[in-house]
Amino acid sequence: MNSPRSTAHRAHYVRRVWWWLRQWSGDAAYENYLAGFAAHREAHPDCPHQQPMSQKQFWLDSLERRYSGISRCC
Amino acid sequence: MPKLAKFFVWVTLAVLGAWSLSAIAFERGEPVNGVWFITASGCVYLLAHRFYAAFLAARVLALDDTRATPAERLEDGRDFVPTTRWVLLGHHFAAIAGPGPLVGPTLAAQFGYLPGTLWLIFGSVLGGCVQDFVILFCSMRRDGRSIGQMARDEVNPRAGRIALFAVLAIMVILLAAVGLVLVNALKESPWGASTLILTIPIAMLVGCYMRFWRPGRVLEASLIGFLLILFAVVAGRWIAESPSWAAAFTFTGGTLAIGVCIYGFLASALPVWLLLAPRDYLSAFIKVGVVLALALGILLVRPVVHMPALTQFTDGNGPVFAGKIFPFCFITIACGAISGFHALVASGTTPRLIRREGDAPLIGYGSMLMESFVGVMAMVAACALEPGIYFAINSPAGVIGTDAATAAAKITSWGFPLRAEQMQQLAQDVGEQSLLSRVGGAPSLAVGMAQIFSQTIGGGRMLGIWYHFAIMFEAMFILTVLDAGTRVGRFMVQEVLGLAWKPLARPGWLPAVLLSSALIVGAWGYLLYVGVNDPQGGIKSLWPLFGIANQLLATVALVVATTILIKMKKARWAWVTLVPMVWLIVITMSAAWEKIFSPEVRIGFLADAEAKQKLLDAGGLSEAAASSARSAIWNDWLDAGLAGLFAVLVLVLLLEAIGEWWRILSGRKQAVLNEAPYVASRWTEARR
Repeated sequence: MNSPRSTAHRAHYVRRVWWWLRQWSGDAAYENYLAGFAAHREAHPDCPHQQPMSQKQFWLDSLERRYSGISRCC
Repeated sequence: MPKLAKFFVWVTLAVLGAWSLSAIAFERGEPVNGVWFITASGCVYLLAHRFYAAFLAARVLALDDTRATPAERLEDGRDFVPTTRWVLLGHHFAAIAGPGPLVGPTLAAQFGYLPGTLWLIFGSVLGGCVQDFVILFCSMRRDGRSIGQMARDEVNPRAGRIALFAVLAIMVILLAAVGLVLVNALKESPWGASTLILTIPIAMLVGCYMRFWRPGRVLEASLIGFLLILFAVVAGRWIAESPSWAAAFTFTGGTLAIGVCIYGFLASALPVWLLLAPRDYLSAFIKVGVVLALALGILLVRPVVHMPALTQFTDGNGPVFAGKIFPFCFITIACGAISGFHALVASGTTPRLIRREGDAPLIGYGSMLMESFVGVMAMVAACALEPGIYFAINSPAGVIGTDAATAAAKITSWGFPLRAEQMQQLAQDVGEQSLLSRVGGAPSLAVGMAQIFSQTIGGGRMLGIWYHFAIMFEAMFILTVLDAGTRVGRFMVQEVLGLAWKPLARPGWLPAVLLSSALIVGAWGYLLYVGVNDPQGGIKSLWPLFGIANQLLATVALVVATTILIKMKKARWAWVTLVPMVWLIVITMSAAWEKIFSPEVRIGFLADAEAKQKLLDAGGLSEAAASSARSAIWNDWLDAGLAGLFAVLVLVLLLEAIGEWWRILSGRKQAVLNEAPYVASRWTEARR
């Protein structure tokens, strides 16, 4: 029988795998960017800053940068 | 874990690894199970990562977790992002793994399973992984500088220019070689060709989904794309079974070559979000999934390896490609053991994402171990085929003839029994008209994989579906390399054109985009077209040329790495890069020499050109045959020139580096390292 503890364990591992998958696939890239942007503003409140990019802008920008260099091998 | 238990675990792994290696190395006439390959390589990889990578990290490179990495110092949420090491391991592995470790071992299986397997395991542990790890480290200490920039900064500007030129030239050869593998896998195959063609609108649909409807939602878009691709594999069968549709999707090699060139041009010139990026995402998912499934399949099915440990073709008379085991086995298997191309990836994006220096061994050394493991699995899948079938698929028509009966008689005469009906039945089972002379490695690997998968799920009825799934998987790999490589090549060409007229270097200017795309596609497309029209299958010229070029690039990377070690005052440990470098110089120079000057017509480009010239001089050839001979002579000279040029460039770079080493070691010149200055990591501070 499943104890509440083992169920919690399993849920924890499923969450970890899901987290890894989102990070690896790039699904979480925009969230990471927003978090980094907020941290930067907090650390440098005087820094004259523009607004963060929209999700669409960020997506196109990341693709352009990614495929401007050697990103795939033989 | 207590120390004693750890000690026991590592000793057990060492014993199991040694036992497994001896099982595959000292077999005497008895069939070897594929599982031994998995345990042998797995144990060696784990031991190498635990001990050799740790030695490199601690003693040679002196990794320092208190030092902030570029990802931490320059964090911007875009190029420099501190990334968890397991996520980065996945990223880096997906970036370095391409069709190379699948195709190379399959072709080298003509020597028997043993030479290739040993080279895959020990070449990677002592060479490929070291190169990837050390270059990753060097680039990380230099804010993610490329291999060309490091060659310029650490050796001299001329070395930097040579490295950049080598990259462009290798890219052209690489794209032509993988394009040829693709064409040979899909020609006269309506099922395979229609499936792959269907993946293009699927990729565009996924691109539009991520661009307009759900920006950046990679997982859900990829899942939709994956389901559609599975449907495309099934739909391919319906197309192949319909006489009118099958005729529409049956292409000759020449037509497919033109189609591949048009695809490369469009992928390079169109916006990346539309075709290139979504295909890359789909390919990455399928790549990782299939590699895991293949490992699981081998463990579940435990296929018996039918290929002998060594075949008679070690003497250089192999039907798949000509040339003796030394140096051609080591040239044919490039990416699974050591690949210079990895140095380009290891000095690009990945070093800008490493969170702590201590993560570098897992990412640099560990990813290459995984790539080598893919190569070992490809070797098992290819060698699990009956050798007669393997040679029937991989030998060109010029060697075994064009009909099943002649091919079977010829291959049986080599000591590998094969019946014509066997080949006809196999072709029918996988849904193809014929599997004879499908040179290039991809079809034989797909048959091997399909046999393993079908024994796990679906049985013989599913053989056709699994075969075309495997073909689609390999083709997706190749198209990803083709489109991403063509785009990068386009940028390089634009950079060169910009030296003549500045506007041509502007990335967004349409005439410059079209011109540079046409130039890069024209360069690899020409070599591809020549390969497709070669009666010997083309792969015999292009694949060794690619292997030579790729490993000469690895030599460039190891020269740069050795220079940096000497400048770091680690000359006593410089053997870690010097030994693989010397080995690579020996094999690449020997191979280049043989490919240019061997008197054997099947090996030497010049000998082949001379033989064809004699035929022309003798007269009596039809106009078509004479024209074909004239173009073959030109191509032989071109291939010889390219091989010679690569070799000379690397020798010049080596001489430049040796001069630099001598000046530093003799105290005539002060060593100046171009590392970014030390900044303490805030995470180390936080841990205290």
